[in-house]
Parts: sequence; C-alpha cells; structure tokens
Amino acid sequence: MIEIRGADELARVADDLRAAAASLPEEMSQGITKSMQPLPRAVKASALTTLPGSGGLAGLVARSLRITARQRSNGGRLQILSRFNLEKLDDGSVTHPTYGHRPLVTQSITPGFVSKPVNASEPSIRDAADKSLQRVADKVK
Amino acid sequence: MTTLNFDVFWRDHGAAAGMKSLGKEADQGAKRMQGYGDKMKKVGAVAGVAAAAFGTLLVKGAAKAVTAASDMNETLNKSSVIFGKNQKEIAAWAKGAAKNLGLSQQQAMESAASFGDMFLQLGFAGKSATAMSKSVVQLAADLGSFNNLPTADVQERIAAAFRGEYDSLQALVPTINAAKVEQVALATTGKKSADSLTQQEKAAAVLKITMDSTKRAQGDFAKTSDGLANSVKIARARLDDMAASAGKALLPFAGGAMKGFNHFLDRLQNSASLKDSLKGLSGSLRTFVTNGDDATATADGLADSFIDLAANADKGAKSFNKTNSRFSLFVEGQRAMVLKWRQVMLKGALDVYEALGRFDPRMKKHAANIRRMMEETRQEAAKTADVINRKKIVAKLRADKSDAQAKVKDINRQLETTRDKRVITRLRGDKANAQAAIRSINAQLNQLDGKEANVWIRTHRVTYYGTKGKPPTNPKGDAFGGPIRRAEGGSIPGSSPSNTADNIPIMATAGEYMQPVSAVRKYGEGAMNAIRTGRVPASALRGYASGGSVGGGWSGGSSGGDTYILQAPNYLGTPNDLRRTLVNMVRSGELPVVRR
Repeated sequence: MIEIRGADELARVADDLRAAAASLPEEMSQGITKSMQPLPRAVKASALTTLPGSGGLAGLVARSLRITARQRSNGGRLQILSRFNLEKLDDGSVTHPTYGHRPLVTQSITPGFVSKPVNASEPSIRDAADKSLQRVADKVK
Repeated sequence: MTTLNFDVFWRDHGAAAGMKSLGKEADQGAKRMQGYGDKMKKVGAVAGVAAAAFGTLLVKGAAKAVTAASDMNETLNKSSVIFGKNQKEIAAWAKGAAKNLGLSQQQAMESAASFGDMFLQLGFAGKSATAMSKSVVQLAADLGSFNNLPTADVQERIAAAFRGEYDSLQALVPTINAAKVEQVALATTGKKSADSLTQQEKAAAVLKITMDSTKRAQGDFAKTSDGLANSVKIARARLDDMAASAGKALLPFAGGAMKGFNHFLDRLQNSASLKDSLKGLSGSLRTFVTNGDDATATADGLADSFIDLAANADKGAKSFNKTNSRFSLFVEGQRAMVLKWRQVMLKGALDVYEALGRFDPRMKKHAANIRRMMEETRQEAAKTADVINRKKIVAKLRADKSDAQAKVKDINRQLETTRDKRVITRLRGDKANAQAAIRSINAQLNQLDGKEANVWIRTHRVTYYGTKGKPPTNPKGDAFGGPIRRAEGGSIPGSSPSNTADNIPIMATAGEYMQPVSAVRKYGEGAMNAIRTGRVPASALRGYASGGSVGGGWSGGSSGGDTYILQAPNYLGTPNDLRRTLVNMVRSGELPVVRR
C-alpha cells in the first residue's frame, strides 16, 4: 500500500530533487575516478609490454612511473610522473646513446604505452558515469 | 622530470540545473497546494464531496486508483475461489454493472461474491449459488432505485434476511417474517415440521418471498436509468471503474516510481489551465450531487474536464521530458506512465461523449475527435515504448561488449604464456571471434545509441616538463630545463656534460642558426649578441654573405692581397668556419676562383 500525503509528499520530493541536483557532480566525479583506479596498474603493465626491453628501457620506465588517479570537480585526472620524457615515449620515439654514434640516436618505438590503456578504459568510464546518473535518478524516485 | 596528465571531463548538459529548478518549482507547488487544501476545507460539505471525487482522479487519485485496482485484484481472487468455474460468468455480468446496476465492476463482483459465499455455506450448489447471487444483487439495485435507497443499504437488508433477521427488509418487503418464511419453506419442501427445515430451505424461501413481493420493483433501475438519481449512481460507478482501470495501468509502476508520478501530478495541479479544469470538474460533480442541471450538460462538462486533464497530462509529459532530457530512461518511464494516464482520461471522455451521442448528434463529433486523440496518444505511447526498449537493448549491448572485451584481454594473457601451437591457433580463433563480436556490437551501438550518450566524456593529455608535476613557473622554461624558446635569440642556460651533449630541448624556427659552444667561447657572448641584435655592420661581414667581395688581408686560396669573387653558396657562419671551408673548397677545386 502506497501512502501519498499530497503537499507533504511534494515537499519531500522537492527536497529529494534539490539533494539529487547537489549530489550529481560529486556522484559523477566519484564514479569516474573510481573507474580510473585500475589505470595505474594497467599503464605500468603497458610500459613493460609495449616499450622496448633492450637496454632495460621498459623496466626502467615502468619503475620510474609514479601514477595517481585523483578526483576533480568535473571528472578525474590520471597523473603520471617520470624522469623520462613520457610524451616522446608515448608518441613513439626514444632518444638514447649508442656506441660509436655521436652522441645520441632517436629511434621509433610502438606508440601509445600510456594512451592505449587510457583510451581502452573509456567504455568502463562511460559505464561508471551512466551508473552514477542512474544512482542520482533513483534518489529522486 | 616530466608529468603526463590525462583528464577525464564530464558534462551533464544541464541535468543538475534542471533538477534544481524542478525542486524549486516542486517546493513552491507544495506551498501552494497546502494553501489550496485549506481553502477547499472551507468550501463546505458539498464541495468536499466534489473535492473527494476529483481527488480520486487527481493528486491523490493515483494512489486511490492503485488501491482500487488492488481491491479489484483481491475481489477477483475472492470471486474466483467462491464461484470456481462460474467466475467467468460473474466477471462478464459485472462488466455491465455500472450501466445495469449503478455499481462499479468491483462493487458488483464483491457483492455477488459475498452472497455467493453465503449461499455455498447454506448448501446451495455452485451453479445455483452463482445464479442466485446475480439475482439478489440485481434485485438490490432495483429495490434501491424503486425506493430511492443506496444499493449497498438494500443489499445489507437482504443479507440480514438470509441470516434470519427480517426487520430491516420488512420496510421494503412488508410480508416477510419468520412465520411466512417457515410456511413457504414447508410448502416448497413438503415437510411437516418447521423444526426439520434446513437453513438452505429457509434461505430459498426468503428469496422466493422477496422475489414474489417485489415484482413491481424489478427492472426499475433499467427503466429509470436516465433519471437523475440513477445517473448519479451510474456516473459514480463509472468513475470508480475508471479509477480501477487507471490504477491497473499504474500498478506495474507502483512503488518508487509512483512517487515520481505523484510529483508529476502535483506539478500539474499547480498549472493555471489545470486549475480551470479542476474548477470545471468540481462544478460538474457538484451538480451531480446537488440535483442541479440536467444530466446532459453535467456530463458534457465532465467530458471537457477529462479532455483538459488529458491535454495537461500531455503538456506536463513534454515539459518533464525537456527538463530532464539526459535522464533519458528515467524520464521515458515517467512519460510512459503519463501517456497511460492520458489514455485512461481520454477513454473516460469518450465514454461520456458516446453516451451523450444518443441524445445529441453534436456529441458524436466530439467522440470522433477523442478517438483521434486516443490514436495519437497510442502512437506516442508506442514510440515511447520503443525508446525504452531501445535503451534497454543499448544497455545489454554495452554489457555484451564489456564481456567480449574482457574475453579478448583474457585470451591475450593466455597467448603470452602458452607455447602449444594448437592452443595458440585455437586462442587466435577465439580472439578473432570476440573481436568480430565487438565490431558487430559497436556497429549496432552506433545505430542505436547514436546521439543519446548520457554524459560527454573527453580525455585530454597535458605534458609538463619540470619537477613535481607542476607546470613551469617561467614559460620560457629556463629554470626547469624545459623546452627553451628563443624566438629572439640568446644564450641557453643550464649545464651539459660535454660541448656536444644535446641534453637540453630547444624550440626552434626554420631559418634560425645555432652556434656551437666552441664558437661562442672563441668570440664570446658579447660578439654573439652583437650579431644577434644587428649591432655589427653588414659591411664588416660582407665577404661572408653570398657573392660578396672579401676584403684584402685574407690569404685564402692562392696569392694574398688579390681580390676574389667567390661563387660560394649562401652561407652564414662564424668567420673562422667560413674561412676554413672556403680554403678547403678552393684547394679541392670545388670553388671556382676568378681573378680580376
């Protein structure tokens, strides 16, 4: 049996709506950031499998990575710190010293050691955002 | 140290703002409703009846309608248990109860079930009990109509007589009393003593006496159904039936969604046009109650009110949808409910107009319009159902895609570890199948999902060169060894392990020229800056530009003191470099020398 109390019920719904509106940004950002939590591990694994192993580059880069996934007001941020030039590595080139050549050479490598796992996570991020929206909608019901 | 940031942004496309404004509206609506309710209380009893009646259809209507539908379900269950295989006969009979008895379907079935239960307990067989129940309920309606009494009141008097209490029925059937019942029962059964009579035999005698004594009243309801009293009964029964139908439509949404629907109705009640509709409906019902205008005009007003309500329901549905377009599935659910409600309202209006069409041909035109509106609503409801269905399919496809992606990932892991060629072949086949499934799902999603993503997500990559992941405080990048920008030239800061270490990133522009460390050291930064800023006259360096003549004092190729025209390519470097290069070129014969 459903109990409806007219104006009181409407006032409660009004409160629910306002609360839902207020919680929407937090829910969205939280959901998105949670869905980004597996990314640090995925990026490290990707560094080991994508970057060249010769000369120990893959291991060196993987060990040097300091990765965090943090919540922001309008989403989430995956921050990766390293002493290596990450942008260059991610774009597919590495500059390194070689014997007999002056002084460094630049070689092409498989690009996207960071971008690929990040892009691959987009469906799960989208799902998380959908679920967050649904949670908010459920509060209004 | 470099920092790579991937930012994921979301945009709700106004959903939060929409909900906030809805909340505000709802809050204001609640305050207005409280005031409205207080006013209604002051209007008095007649208006109270009207308010209660239209309340059935409106704000509290959804809950009452669901309750009515729920009651109907319970009555159906009860009736099914009592009448067994004869239940269908009772249900068919009850469908016409509003018109034939002035009772709602639920009331007719409930009454029949109560009498049926009594007759079965008294020992009557199922078929007899069914027929007797129908007869008694019909008789109650006729007696009520004949004596201007509520049908339920007459039913109670008859039920009491079956229990052996004849006083209340005597007001309608004066001949009935205990002695008469025994006399008729003895005559019917042929028994000699009253003590030997069973309850069943006495009940049969009660029915016989009542039927025999009320022959003039039988069929009175049908005869006088156009009269005001019976019109009121029929209209009320129809309203109850409609409430039950509406409730039936809403039952699947009962629970949490019901509150949302109630909220929607609350919003509707606060619209100006709806208030006018309510006023009309309230007036119509008041007329019913107070024996005012003729039934035709009253029913016409009622029909108009239904149409207004349906129109407002539609408007409300659209505004709700617009406000919260991003809560698509939730909103579509609400919209589906509103459309169902609208269909019920239009059906109510159609019933009224069809009934009026018998008296006034113009009403048939209205009925045709209502049918057209019903068809439009049906189409819209079908469209909404399609959208809901599509969204459910999208959700399922996304889940399937996620599964297929997980499978590919798992296969990749297995491929890394296995050496068995047969296993590898099988895994590759599985992977290809999973990838094909993902492609197929993507294609379907593109078709279905298209532009309906609930959120907008954008990933954005930003790279900082520097320390601690912070952007350089100096955009020139000097202090952090970041990309050096020297659009206007100048020295490069920092340190290098050798003169040719190339350890500092430089942002350069085509056409610029960089000097090696050795040249800078030889001529000094001052000389470099003098060239950079144009303080060295061009004439001093004339010989180093293309085709320029080199002044005397330079013994390059052959004999000193001579003037040479150098057919050299464009070249700009340190004088020392140029000299060395030119000497080598002249010696090797690469550079033609023309003596003047």
